[in-house]
Amino acid sequence: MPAPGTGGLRPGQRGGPVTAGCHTGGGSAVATATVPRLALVGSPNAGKTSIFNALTGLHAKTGNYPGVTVSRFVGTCRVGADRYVVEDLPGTYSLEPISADEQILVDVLDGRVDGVARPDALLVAVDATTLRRSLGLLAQILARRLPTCVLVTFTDELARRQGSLDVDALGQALGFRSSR
Amino acid sequence: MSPTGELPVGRQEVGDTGCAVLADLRPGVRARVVQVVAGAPAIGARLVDLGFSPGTAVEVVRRAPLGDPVVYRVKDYEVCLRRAQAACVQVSGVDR
Repeated sequence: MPAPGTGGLRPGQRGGPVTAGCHTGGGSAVATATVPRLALVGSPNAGKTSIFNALTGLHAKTGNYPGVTVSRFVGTCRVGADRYVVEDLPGTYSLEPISADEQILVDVLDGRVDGVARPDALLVAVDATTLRRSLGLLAQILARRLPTCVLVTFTDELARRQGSLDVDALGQALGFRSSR
Repeated sequence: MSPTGELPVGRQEVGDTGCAVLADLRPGVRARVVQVVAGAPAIGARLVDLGFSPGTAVEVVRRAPLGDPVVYRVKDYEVCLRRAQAACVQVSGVDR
């Protein structure tokens, strides 16, 4: 699977800078109350796990959500002196769940899973080649009103197909500050 | 909808509307989604979330040898639906 090209978009609200590509994370993946928790969400095959691996440097802890056989992936990421816990959530096309893993995703976003704190911020992976479809899911996610960073993935694949995307204009339309 | 008025909620069958459905279209045909009517609301909602929202242009790309499933192009990507789900999507403006 090709590594997705990532261009970041983030609201100019709170939180430290978050950019893909920090490989210095790792160590203990145990979540503590003081470390901000970031959750990766997006459609299936949007590149969440590639971003997760880039952020956590593969120092991830895998396990299960309590009571269901849905795999759970949690890792840590270091940006300068700051540490973040990153959670790779199951992919979905909608926040109206129709399967166990989609239900877990919604329950995590709403802080309804025992022992899993509600994320402090969201990283939303959006595949540039299926952008129009992904906007519906993005709208549902933004309605949760958590601090959100949108990561536009597969921009290299879009370019290969002679497509183009104005990331700045997308950011402007969404009310996000954009960066690359 | 029948010419005489509304059908009881839950009794409306696909086809009662006199509207074409996605499952009736041949490869190469384009149409526009009017609405999605599914027996299970979750199925209808998921079809909309996959891109089959009212007003969206759809093209039939190709069909499996036995006619099911069928690949559709919608919102700049391709998605494959079984006949049962494609029958939930009512379309108009069929352009052969």
